[in-house]
Amino acid sequence: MSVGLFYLFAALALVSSFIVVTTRNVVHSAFALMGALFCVSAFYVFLDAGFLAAIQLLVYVGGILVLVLFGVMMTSGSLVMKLRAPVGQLLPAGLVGLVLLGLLIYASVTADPWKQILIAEDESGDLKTQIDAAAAEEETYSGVQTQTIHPRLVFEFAESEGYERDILPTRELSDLVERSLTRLDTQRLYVVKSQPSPANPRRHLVIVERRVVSLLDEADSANIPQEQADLIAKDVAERTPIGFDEPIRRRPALLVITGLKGGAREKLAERFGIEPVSDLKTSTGLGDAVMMGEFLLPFEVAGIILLVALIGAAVVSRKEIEA
Amino acid sequence: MITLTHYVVLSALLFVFGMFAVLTRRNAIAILMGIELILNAANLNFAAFSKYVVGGVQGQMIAVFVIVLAAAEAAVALAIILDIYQKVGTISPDETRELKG
Repeated sequence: MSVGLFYLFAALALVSSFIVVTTRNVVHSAFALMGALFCVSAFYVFLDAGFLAAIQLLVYVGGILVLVLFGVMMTSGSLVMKLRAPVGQLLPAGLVGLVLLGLLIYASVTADPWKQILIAEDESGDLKTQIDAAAAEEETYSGVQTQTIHPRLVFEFAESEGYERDILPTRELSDLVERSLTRLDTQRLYVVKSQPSPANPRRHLVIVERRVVSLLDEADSANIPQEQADLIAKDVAERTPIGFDEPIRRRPALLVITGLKGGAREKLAERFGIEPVSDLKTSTGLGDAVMMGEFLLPFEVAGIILLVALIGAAVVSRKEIEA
Repeated sequence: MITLTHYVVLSALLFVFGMFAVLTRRNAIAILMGIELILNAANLNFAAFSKYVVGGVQGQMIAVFVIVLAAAEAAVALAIILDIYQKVGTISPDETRELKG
């Protein structure tokens, strides 16, 4: 995503929400709100939340806004009403708003607790390059878990494991990278991918469950031999990732396989007895697969809440007509 | 490069706009719009933290819940507002002080 696009939508969102707050006409206010909601859904797209963006457009712009407009039409004698509060109310409200805004921005810019965990610097720069490369690959192959694996997470993990900064031998470092990657993983999403190593295209980097398991020598860039696919499947099944009590024996909810071609992918999927979800190029597709797979029950609960509220609303307004 | 801080500051601005609307508007529907802005600011934070800190889609799931909650709230609030309008003849929160009905 380009930075310019972000600022464009940010400016649009702020201008339209300013109009929502200041205009004297309720209908103008509602249409400005539509602009603001639209911009927010654009931000969801930037945040790799395509599903959320779709829901936002559907429910907010399509549903709530129409509802609000109906409300405006049914309750207004004249559209231009006494919307503004008297100065005695505006001043304190503006003051409270400014103070709160200052506090929020001060807190998020200076205190920034989610960045303070950068506790060690990688002086040689070697590890940082490696992790950045791995993170870049993670982002390009799809947007499942698009979070970038920051070196700081590794260092934070190192600190929590009691290592001194700057005294991390190479082997232990790579071990730590693995473990911190595992720690970040979600419990039931297994990712198997194979890509040419950035350093040496003839070597294949095989990443299972987001961990660098092995470098397969002389792997064909288009295909991986069956035996090696078997090895990978065995590895996935028998490893005990840190933070989990037992090896992954049960059926994964979703097995994402990229990079493996030919029979290897099917074989790997067959090993777990599930349909391979293959060739997922876009983040939206995979995000939706996760949303629909893992979170179907919460989604249904949300739907029921909405239904109950709608029925309640209908009852409230019917009662008036009957009375 | 866009960082988490960008999103947090943006949502702080949206939140303050929404809060200002809630504090100063004299029309119940305009107040409702302010609440929608506030909820959107919160949702933006959920989605941003979901991407930059947590990973996965847990934050997005919470955001979906908030959207549904906002829809439910809007439906009920508008029904109440219509009811008040028919009874009292105005939807200014300053002029509708009786709760006895």
